[in-house]
Amino acid sequence: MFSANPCRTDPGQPGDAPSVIRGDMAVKGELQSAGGIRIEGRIDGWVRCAALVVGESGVILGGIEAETVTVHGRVEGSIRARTLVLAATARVAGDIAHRTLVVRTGALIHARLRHAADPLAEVPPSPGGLQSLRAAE
Amino acid sequence: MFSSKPKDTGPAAAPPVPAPPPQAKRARPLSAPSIISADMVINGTVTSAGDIQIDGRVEGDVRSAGLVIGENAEIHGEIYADDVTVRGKVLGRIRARKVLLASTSHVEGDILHEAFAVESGAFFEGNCRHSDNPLGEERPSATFEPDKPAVVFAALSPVTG
Repeated sequence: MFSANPCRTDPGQPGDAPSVIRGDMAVKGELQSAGGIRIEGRIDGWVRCAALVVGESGVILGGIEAETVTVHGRVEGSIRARTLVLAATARVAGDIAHRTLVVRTGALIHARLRHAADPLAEVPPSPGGLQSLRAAE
Repeated sequence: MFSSKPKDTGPAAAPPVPAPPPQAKRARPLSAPSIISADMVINGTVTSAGDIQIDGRVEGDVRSAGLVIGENAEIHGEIYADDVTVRGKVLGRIRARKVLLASTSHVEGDILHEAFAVESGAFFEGNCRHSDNPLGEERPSATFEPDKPAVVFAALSPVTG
């Protein structure tokens, strides 16, 4: 009866396939990774990693700090990324600092966009930035 | 699904008994599990209606249907799941229907379970108790006090003096 667990059983090693947060999963808190993360579920909190993909069903309420960020889903809060791609299905609200920005036709953006030579080197923006933006809505 | 069968086999035929569904155990979504890879750290609560494979580190509670804690994984918090396989380290209470401590596991905490298995080589320090409904019991610590085992032994020893 113990063999039915369908999860992978071999031990994971650093540099393995990226972490995946599926649609049925939610995290309240902080995620950190030296590698990649794909998010189809919901995160209430901060995500810091090298490469982040927010899938179409993915929701992040909080903030993102990453080298590369691709958003197909919804992000509310602060995004700091060297390369940011907002796909056609993206819905983004908040405060964005980027070095390279790509926006596909159809993306919904309600945010302050700002170019920075190195967005990750800056001090994180105060949460008041988002709150004032929400209050203005 | 029964309508396609020819039914007129005569009145002596036994009443049709519906066959048990192939997956009578539990309706768990058969999608791929979420994966917390080895380079990932989570500070906070993790919940999932499906399965989670953890190879990284979680500082907080984990709730899911199926849960596999990989060999290099570490969890500091409470686990609440249908089916848990521990190959790594858990510091905290485990409440689950099925618990398997693999040979590489290191568990410090109490375990409340319906079915429990330990492989040779596993490290386990804590109390473990069977329950018919480990996930339904409200506060296992109310009846399950690992800090006070002396009470049990005191009752067995004759009172002197």
